[in-house]
Amino acid sequence: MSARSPYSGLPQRAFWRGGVAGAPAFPPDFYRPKFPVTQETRVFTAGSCFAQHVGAAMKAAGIKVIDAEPARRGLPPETTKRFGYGVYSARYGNLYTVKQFRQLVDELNGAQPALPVWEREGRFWDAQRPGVEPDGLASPELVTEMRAQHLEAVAEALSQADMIVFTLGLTEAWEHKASGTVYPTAPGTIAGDYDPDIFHFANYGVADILDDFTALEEALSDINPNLKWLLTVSPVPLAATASGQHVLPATVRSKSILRTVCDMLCESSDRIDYFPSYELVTSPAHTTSPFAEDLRSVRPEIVAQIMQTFLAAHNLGIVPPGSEDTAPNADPADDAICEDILLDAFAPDTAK
Amino acid sequence: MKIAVVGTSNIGAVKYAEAQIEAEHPHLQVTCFGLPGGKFDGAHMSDGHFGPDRADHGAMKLARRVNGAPTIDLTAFDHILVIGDTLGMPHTLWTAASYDIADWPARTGRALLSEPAFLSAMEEAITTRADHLRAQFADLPIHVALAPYPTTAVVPKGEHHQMPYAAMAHHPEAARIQTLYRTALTKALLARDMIFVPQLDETIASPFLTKEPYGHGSMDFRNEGRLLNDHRHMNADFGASLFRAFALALTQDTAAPQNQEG
Repeated sequence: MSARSPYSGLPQRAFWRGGVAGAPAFPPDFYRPKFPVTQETRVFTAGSCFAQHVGAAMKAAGIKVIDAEPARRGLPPETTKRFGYGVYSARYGNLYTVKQFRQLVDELNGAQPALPVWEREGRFWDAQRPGVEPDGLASPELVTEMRAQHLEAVAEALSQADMIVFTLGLTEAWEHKASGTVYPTAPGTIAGDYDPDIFHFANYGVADILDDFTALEEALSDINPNLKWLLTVSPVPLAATASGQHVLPATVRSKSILRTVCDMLCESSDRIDYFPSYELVTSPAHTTSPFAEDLRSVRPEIVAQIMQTFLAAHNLGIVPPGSEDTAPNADPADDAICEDILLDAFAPDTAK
Repeated sequence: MKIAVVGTSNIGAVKYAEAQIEAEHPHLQVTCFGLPGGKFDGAHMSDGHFGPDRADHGAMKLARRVNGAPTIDLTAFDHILVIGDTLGMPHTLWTAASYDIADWPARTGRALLSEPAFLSAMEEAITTRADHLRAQFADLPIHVALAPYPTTAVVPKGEHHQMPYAAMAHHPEAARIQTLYRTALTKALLARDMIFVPQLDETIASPFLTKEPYGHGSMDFRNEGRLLNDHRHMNADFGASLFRAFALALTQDTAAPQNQEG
């Protein structure tokens, strides 16, 4: 009679051999949702650029993804996307950090971010979402007026939501020294100017992010107390780091912290679930690289399979293969709008 | 000089202005070739001949019945006037009617759209159609007239009401939108070796709306004598005016190189 072991009798998914080695890159019974997502679930999407794929797939599956600032009749598709319409539940652009999300909700409750308008060559940008107006606006007053309307839309979207799907993207960010206001892009990338006396680099740790999340949840409870969360970690590596480390360990640090935070939050509440899209990309079971030639963008067919995994776990419709989103030759740069790739322009010329 | 007037049902206005055109422009010999809008959209050049999708037997039969031949040899003409595509105009007007443009003074309580986004939307809508038109006519130089603005009869609620044109009647920025649109359209067409022929001011009641009398007596381009009076298609007086605008553009075309050489 063989000795008893707590591992005996466990299913194949519990073992590396058979669960990963020798298994498909998208194995069955991979994700067990904590709570159901149905076509009736009203979803608020936000996060780093990978979250755009999540929202798009949910829309394609017929889930009620909230769009509080929709592209109205007449706006053609390229302009719609370039100006941030229909990308998330409102036009806030990418929320790379939990602190950025917290700050947005605090603003709904009356807080004011520091230096809200950034200038470049006579045009003006909303410093909290510079990517949604790629050409800037004519005056700071217009930025303020459009932001006020935007905030109304964000509040409306959050009040309607049953669930927030949030993709955690970065731990590195740039803050206003005096106030702690965080920005989605480094000053001087799209607009503004980097002055080390005014801005400083921040690289959040687990405790920082948990604090921000706790404060975010508290602020949200005034708007919508029954929200559920579905968290993911973006598998997209850092475009650049200001940490002083090599970008590879800086990426691993960032993703490890975000992944840890997700686990701690999931453990802490029945209202918070984690979908392991990060693991599906970084799994060694892929026979070819899941990344495109830039070793950063996730190939569209991998994104499609990730989302199929998610939808299948919720018994929802699967995005038909061969659709635009799954075309293997599609340019990954077309798929998501990521301001952080703009940092690549500051890299030394490697062709020399 | 041999002129081909090619296009959608809107060529009817020119077709039925034949007598006026002949009287005003005796040196121009005009041939019309029209297809219904949907069929025109799929029409293209093949071996110098413009016509509907050759595999669309219904469209080929219709083209023969209306025009006397299923296709037209456009290489046999000195100049070509294409009439009928809306070239992004409805998209532009819907956008203008759906939003308050943030950079402009008027506020109606609609969602704000930045002027750069409005201009981007307009240019995208125009270039999409301009590319399509260019592809339809291969590398032939052409003059292009928009489908006419509908008449002011489309403004009130009722039988002829037509958005988004009706919205322009009371839009505080309609004149600015028309200027922006025409400028962008002219530029987009020129970049593709096409020359824009705007309908003459004498026909325009207000931006994007034609004077109502031009909508009376419009006839089906497929069937002379069958009145349309839908205020989207125009009558022969309009056709004569539009042809005048085209003839004027031809004069300017021929004048330009001489000036440059001088």
